[in-house]
Amino acid sequence: MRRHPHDGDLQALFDGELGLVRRLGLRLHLRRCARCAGRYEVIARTNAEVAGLLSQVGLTVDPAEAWARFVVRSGWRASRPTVPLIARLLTPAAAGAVAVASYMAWPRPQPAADLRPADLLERIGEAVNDVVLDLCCADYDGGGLPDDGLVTLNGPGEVVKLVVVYEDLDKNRSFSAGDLVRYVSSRPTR
Amino acid sequence: MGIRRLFERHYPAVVRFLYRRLGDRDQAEELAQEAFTRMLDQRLRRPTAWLYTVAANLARDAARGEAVRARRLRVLAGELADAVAPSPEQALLREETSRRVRAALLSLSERDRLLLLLREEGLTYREIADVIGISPTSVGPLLTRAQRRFVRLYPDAMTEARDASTSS
Repeated sequence: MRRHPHDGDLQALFDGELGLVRRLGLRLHLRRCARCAGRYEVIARTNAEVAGLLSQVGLTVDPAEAWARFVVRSGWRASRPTVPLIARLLTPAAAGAVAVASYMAWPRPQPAADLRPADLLERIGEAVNDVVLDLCCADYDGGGLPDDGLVTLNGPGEVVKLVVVYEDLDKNRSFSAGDLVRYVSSRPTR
Repeated sequence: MGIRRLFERHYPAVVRFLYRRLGDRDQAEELAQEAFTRMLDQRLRRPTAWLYTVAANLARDAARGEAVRARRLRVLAGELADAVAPSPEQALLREETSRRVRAALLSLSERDRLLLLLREEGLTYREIADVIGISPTSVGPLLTRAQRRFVRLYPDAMTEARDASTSS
């Protein structure tokens, strides 16, 4: 790089906002140009000073308490699981009935403690045209605690393709990589 | 990403962002909750930028008008006068610094203030550009200037606040 960089370029370098080539070019320039290296130092110092000053106007927020208020404020809309449009057309009661009936009607649920949730999430993620219902949390495994979730994957015409019962270990009220798979109706195919 | 994850990830930062702009914790929390409530009705590709845009607009509406700004400066100056009550020296110093920082922020233009606060909350240049309505390549140069102005204004911020108080 022959031309000296603008302050904005140095700021973007400091903020990690430049692409690889531009970043390497600027780094090389700074190594060779003492004047620009000095300018970069000034920018870095100013950034640190601003960050230090702004940190004086901080506060601590409890997200859990705020979430509880938000759920109430939103008229409980915020606490509903995120489901596709077609599933949102069903009433919660009907959706629950379909999911539970699907699960109960399945012939032999398989113990699946050896299955990683990531495998199933991948399988579910691939089924872009299907309806996914994730109902959490209740006592689906009869353990006495409402810490279980039920995932169903329905194809067109409500053909149930997959049922998963999981324990919501990470307490995020949805099926995720941190949970434990209790039962699965069929193993994901590779 | 579900609303709960978005909430857990961004809520504290949005409240902090609003608090730094408005200087009122209750108002900051109220507006943050309002921003997330509006988000419930949206299907968003870039939720972070959208969220901060709404938060910034809510804050701007809340703080609109020169009279509001002047009143806040008077309040800040009044708070400084009240701050001589006995308390640990460190806490007093921090409180005074906090007021001075807020006063300096209020002295900045809306765009400069947003640049500083959004960057401080870790938004990318693209997200900042979306919120402010500028090109991502303009963020670096504008941010550098905003930081310089802020650092230059900071030592004078309290004097300005006191002047506003005495002239009222």
